[in-house]
Amino acid sequence: MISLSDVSIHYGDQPVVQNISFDIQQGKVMVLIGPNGSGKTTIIRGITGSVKLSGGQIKYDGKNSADLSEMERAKYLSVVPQNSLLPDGFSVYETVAMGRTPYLGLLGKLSEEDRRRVNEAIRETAIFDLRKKDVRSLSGGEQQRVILARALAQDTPVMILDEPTTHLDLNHTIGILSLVRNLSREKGTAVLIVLHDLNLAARFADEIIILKQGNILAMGTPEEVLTENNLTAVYHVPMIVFRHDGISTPIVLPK
Amino acid sequence: MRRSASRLGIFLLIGIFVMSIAGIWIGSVPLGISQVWDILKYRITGGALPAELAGTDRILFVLRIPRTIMMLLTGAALACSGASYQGLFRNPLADPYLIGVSTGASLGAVIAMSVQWPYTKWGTMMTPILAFVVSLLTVWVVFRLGKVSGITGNTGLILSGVAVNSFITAVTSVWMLFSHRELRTSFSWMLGGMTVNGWEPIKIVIPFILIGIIGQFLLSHRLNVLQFGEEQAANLGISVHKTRIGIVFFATLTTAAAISFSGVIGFVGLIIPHVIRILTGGDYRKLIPLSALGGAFFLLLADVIARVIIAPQELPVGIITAIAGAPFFLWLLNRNTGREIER
Repeated sequence: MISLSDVSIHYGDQPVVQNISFDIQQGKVMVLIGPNGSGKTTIIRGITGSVKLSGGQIKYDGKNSADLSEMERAKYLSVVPQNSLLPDGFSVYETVAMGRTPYLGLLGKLSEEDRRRVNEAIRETAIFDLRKKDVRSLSGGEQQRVILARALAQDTPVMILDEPTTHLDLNHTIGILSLVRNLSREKGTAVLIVLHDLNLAARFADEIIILKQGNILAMGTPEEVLTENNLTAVYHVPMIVFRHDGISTPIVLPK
Repeated sequence: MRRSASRLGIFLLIGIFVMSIAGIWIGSVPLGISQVWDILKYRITGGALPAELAGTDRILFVLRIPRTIMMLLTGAALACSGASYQGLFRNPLADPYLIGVSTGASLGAVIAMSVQWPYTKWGTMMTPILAFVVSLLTVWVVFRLGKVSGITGNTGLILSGVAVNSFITAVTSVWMLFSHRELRTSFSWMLGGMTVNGWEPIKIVIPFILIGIIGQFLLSHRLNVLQFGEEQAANLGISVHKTRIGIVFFATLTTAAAISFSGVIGFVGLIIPHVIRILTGGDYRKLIPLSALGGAFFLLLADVIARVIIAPQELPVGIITAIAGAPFFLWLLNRNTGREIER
């Protein structure tokens, strides 16, 4: 679906991401983990075209991403950013409906199908009761669900989420990550998520990429990647990885 | 609290109609209903106008009706562009003059007024023409400098606007110092006090203003998406750079055309979009057309006040809008204290 080959990104002379290659595959949830400053958000911004690559290539279904227009890219890839700017004066419904922008005409008039998709996204994220409220009046967690609903309404084969659970309580965190995983299982959506919580990463990822200083340290299933050696090397904190009956994925704790 | 946009639109249309009648009716020379009725009859039937009605006919069709239409167009243009600029810069204090439209137009007008042009059709048009041209040039320079400054996005544009505005204002002052003639006219123009005679100015500005307003309306959905920031807008499929160029182009065209004849009229572009936003919400597909109607209504009202407040003399309409606008501006500033002004 989206493949990165030898991607490097510099901010000025400073290399932030170096020679990274991986594929975001259909029907899989891929999770990027790594300490602050390891290049997670930069990789996402490289994929979305917000920053220029200083080397390598990113291809969307074999097409070079640099050759695609914003509109073509938006039909292919939706993004839930880390910190979403939400303006005054727009209702939850209006905000979610913005997700349909790549399919709309110049004046943004919604068709019956657009409305159906918007309502579906609103129901899936459990914000139906909030739909008439001003988005700025909502709590951080509610706002995050609105932005996720907007990405769902965008109806793309690839979805990228940058720390989507930062403002959420445990209930909504599990809810959103389950929703995204079901999306990849049922619709075959390719998902890339940046997460800080290693246990959530272990539970929801099909594949994990560990980043260290702009390089890939390890890539594979949670069982393969979440080892004490890898995690101690990345976070510089002694870590313990163990198993618990009834939980199929590894559990990670600092020692 | 949001009101229905269509209801507000109808209310504003009625207001514009009433204020237009008032604008035509009120002035230093009183008009009789029967006289006006007779003139309209002759105009409609195409008969020869009796000599005793010629003076009134001139007041109506050369002075008052063109002036009223010009005020209507100017108000619509300024408020509509104000809404667009506030949306583009995501700054509630932005107005059409932020990126040099007004200072450029002032310089053009002052240069034109310092020259004794031949009293031909083109000679009398030199003030608006130069105001228009220098205004567009100034905005172009601001846009270029904003781009080469290396600061991306709106901040570069605002900084370059501040710098260029200061520079052009200084040049205008120097020009006024060295050209002793027509200082009073220049000041009057800068206060929005230029009088419009006949239909020629209207014929010239109408295409620019209409194209400008329609262009801004067509970009209104993109402006909505831009409110979520440039990166999110791009992720939602909007070409941010092209949209920004389009909005600056149409809003500048509209504003420059309007102020080149009417002079610099402040605060309309600031106040009206805010009031409309408070009443109907942030959707630019409603804000742009309703701001145009609101601006037309407000400027017609200000013009009537400017004509009656010290009658038989009249004030430049820009003074009335400033008197109404300055307290509003302070209120807005106070309202935004503690909130982000530039998001």
